[in-house]
Amino acid sequence: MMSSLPVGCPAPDVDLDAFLAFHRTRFGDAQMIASGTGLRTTLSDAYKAAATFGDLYSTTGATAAGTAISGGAPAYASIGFAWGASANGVVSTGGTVFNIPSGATVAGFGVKTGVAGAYLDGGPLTSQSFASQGTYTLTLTYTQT
Amino acid sequence: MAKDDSTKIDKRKVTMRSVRLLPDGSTATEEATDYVRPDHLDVYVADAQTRWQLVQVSDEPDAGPGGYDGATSVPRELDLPDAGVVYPATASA
Repeated sequence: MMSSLPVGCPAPDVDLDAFLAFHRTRFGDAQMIASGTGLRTTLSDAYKAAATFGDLYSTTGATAAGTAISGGAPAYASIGFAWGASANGVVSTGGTVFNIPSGATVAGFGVKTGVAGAYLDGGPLTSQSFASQGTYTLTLTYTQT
Repeated sequence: MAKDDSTKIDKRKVTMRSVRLLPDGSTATEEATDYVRPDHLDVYVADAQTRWQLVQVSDEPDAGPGGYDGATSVPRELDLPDAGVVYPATASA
């Protein structure tokens, strides 16, 4: 379901960056609050469409990508997210299982536009140094306010 | 050729879980699964419990995907005599 948009506003599911830039020119850095559940769902669907792959980092993810984990057998790799359906602006991935090599420390995560795509988002995780080859399962829930 | 059982390491599976609220209001549910030597287990679990909301240890030995011959690293932050030591994988043939 598409919500009505202001004249000249790009559709968020077509170009999320342009949509956000359009609103920043009107509202500055003030936080935008989507007022309808339809718009919130449209925005969460746009996030879901853009945020297709994830990485785990040995450093804390934040405004830029961290240092991705590497190595191991089975080897560490970026994993594609299996997003569920958006509901009222909330959407979750399934449990995304990353292989972690012995000796690696997981400290953060990042979300990106493809397996070798641009970094979009990220943050810290509960830090853990791995004694043996193991796994780190990450389930993300995005909430559009 | 029969394998020498003296090299076998009876690791235990350690599962750690937390739910984290991210700065933008989203949430991340985290689960780390590691395999830890019995002689390191108590210190490893005590350290993990300072960060994770739930830490569980398997009753039965479980070497995990690296196998009994896989490499073992002793996290350097642990209060163990061999903290920071890496024991390389041993030959499995």
